[in-house]
Amino acid sequence: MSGERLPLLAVEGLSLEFRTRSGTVRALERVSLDVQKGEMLGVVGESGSGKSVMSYAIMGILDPAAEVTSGRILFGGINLLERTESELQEMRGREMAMIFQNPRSALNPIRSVGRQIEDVLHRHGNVRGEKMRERAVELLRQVRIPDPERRFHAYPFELSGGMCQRVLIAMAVAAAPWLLIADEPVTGLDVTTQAVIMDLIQDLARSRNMATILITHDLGLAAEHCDRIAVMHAGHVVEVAGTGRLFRSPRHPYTAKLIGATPRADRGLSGLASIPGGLPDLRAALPPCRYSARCERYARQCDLGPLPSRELAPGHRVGCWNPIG
Amino acid sequence: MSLLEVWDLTKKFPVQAGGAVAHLKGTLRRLRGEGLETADGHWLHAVDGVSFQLERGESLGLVGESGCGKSTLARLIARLHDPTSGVINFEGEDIGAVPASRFVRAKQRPRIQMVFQDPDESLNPAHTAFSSIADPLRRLGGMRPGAALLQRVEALAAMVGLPGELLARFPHQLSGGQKARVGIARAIALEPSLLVLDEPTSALDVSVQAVILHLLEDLKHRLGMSYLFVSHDLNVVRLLCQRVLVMYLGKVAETGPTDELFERPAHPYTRALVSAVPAIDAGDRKIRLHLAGEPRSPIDPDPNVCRFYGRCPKGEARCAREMPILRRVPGGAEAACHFPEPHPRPAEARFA
Repeated sequence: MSGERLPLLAVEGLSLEFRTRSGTVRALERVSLDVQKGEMLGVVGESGSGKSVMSYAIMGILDPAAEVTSGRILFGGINLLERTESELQEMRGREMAMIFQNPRSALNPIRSVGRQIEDVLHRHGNVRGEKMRERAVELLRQVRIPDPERRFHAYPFELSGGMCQRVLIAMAVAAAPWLLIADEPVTGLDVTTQAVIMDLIQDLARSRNMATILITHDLGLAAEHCDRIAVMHAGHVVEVAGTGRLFRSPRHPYTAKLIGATPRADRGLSGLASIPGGLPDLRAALPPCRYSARCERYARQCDLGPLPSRELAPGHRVGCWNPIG
Repeated sequence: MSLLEVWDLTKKFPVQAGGAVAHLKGTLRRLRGEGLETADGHWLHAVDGVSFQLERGESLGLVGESGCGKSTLARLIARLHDPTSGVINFEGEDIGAVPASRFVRAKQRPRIQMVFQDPDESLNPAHTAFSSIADPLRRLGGMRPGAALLQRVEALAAMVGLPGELLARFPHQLSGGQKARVGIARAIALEPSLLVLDEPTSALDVSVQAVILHLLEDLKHRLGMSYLFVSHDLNVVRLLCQRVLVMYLGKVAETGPTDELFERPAHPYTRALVSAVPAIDAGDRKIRLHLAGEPRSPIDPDPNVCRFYGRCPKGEARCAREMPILRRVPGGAEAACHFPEPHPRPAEARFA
């Protein structure tokens, strides 16, 4: 764990399976992460790496077919996995909130956006009547929606994707949560809108000292906005480090490949790395390191013990027997 | 002569303003065959007076926000839409004059192929990879089922790196990267001279995207194709294209050599676009230029007002009076702006 402060959220050794007709999918295995107040943690990885499943586990909105087989999720010191559904309902929205990739599909299409914000305030916000309306308009203003009094009455279909995402952010922060999970919040938006939305999330998080988990497949986005980054692959957290450190000196071979495969301004096509193979089938018997079949640094010891979690430098953890450097 | 010359290409779509009743009335009029212009006559200007050239073997990137008309432009050139006006000169003939419904039988039809964004939506779920790739060969290439077709499909699969044993599979049994390969194999089956690619990698993970980008670059050289590459990812365009065309609300905002345009954007919109691209290296990060407000409506736009006016940090009275036209700016690019960013003199240039 980094620092001496008690983290706001600590996921400790979380393992999770889905029982399906075609077998047991081991979606997460001994995943450990922590987030401090006011910090933005990036969780990056390819589709199927388990980053969304992990966020659903934190929010307590997992599919009924999911079963947590070990681990704890400590939020402000209490284990969320031991809370009842009604206790979690009280916490969701009030203490932790989430925004999703497709803002329009997360909004009720036949209710005005202002009313939808009021719904959250009604449930969690301790305000009533005229005050509720004022507060909703104020929230629309805080997410920089122009002409908020008028937009209060707008329906989602009348707003652009970027505007809908702002409304979702307004709903998420309405009850002043301590933790915001943003799951691919700008995927599918235009690059100019992406920048505006990400800056908005960052400003809100800073001014409220809110912890944020940014789940994204876009390394550039994570690099620009996150304090620390966790890299996931096939249900494992393979590397965690401060953002600058992770990109300067990645130690896990997968992290290095992922960085090399991201198109960037200073390199031509010949410098673009490709990662051989794909994610392993999580229903099959898996080696201790789920990256070993794709890895160029594979050695015999990789198959022997369980995946290590080595702290190579303060705050820099790597799940690899044969790290780079 | 260029492979493709586009002159003053325009595509307008009729729209019904005024809610459900007007919409219903319009539909009734259409059903009675009274034509669209008898309705209230509102038009969405998707592509508005666009001109450009594409040389043989060249890659042109088409970038801009969603709704800027880049996909419509790509579809006009692939002849899936009929232009409202303008010329599409391809290999010396105006193919814009041939209606889309008759273009199927035109001799240029096999010469222009398209790779679509989402392989899930562009591959027939009931067709195996083999039949998807064989389809254009049979329909447009005149090949009959048999040993020659089998051989050709297998050769194409090998060319795009699709293992032969996967040819018997259906789309749902293939990964995203494998489906993308099927889409590419199908598009290059007839060895077209122009490949129109509409966001070919946006649905893929970076590891797969890298492989597909390498493949596209390799195929371009091997088959001598030209690419019209539509993408919202500027870093990808930068890797694959020699020239870029930036569109904003149906018009060309700026066009020029890729490096020039990204390093020294002249149009304020290009500057905002380039500055918004997230960068891994702190040194590559640009000072972010936030665009104020929402884009203007593309429905019946005022022909005398710059489309970017109102969102533009430089907007002045002249921009609301006079539509800027594309003009050459120092450095080799062309920008449609009354107040283009001054080109740094060599002494000030970063790499001078």
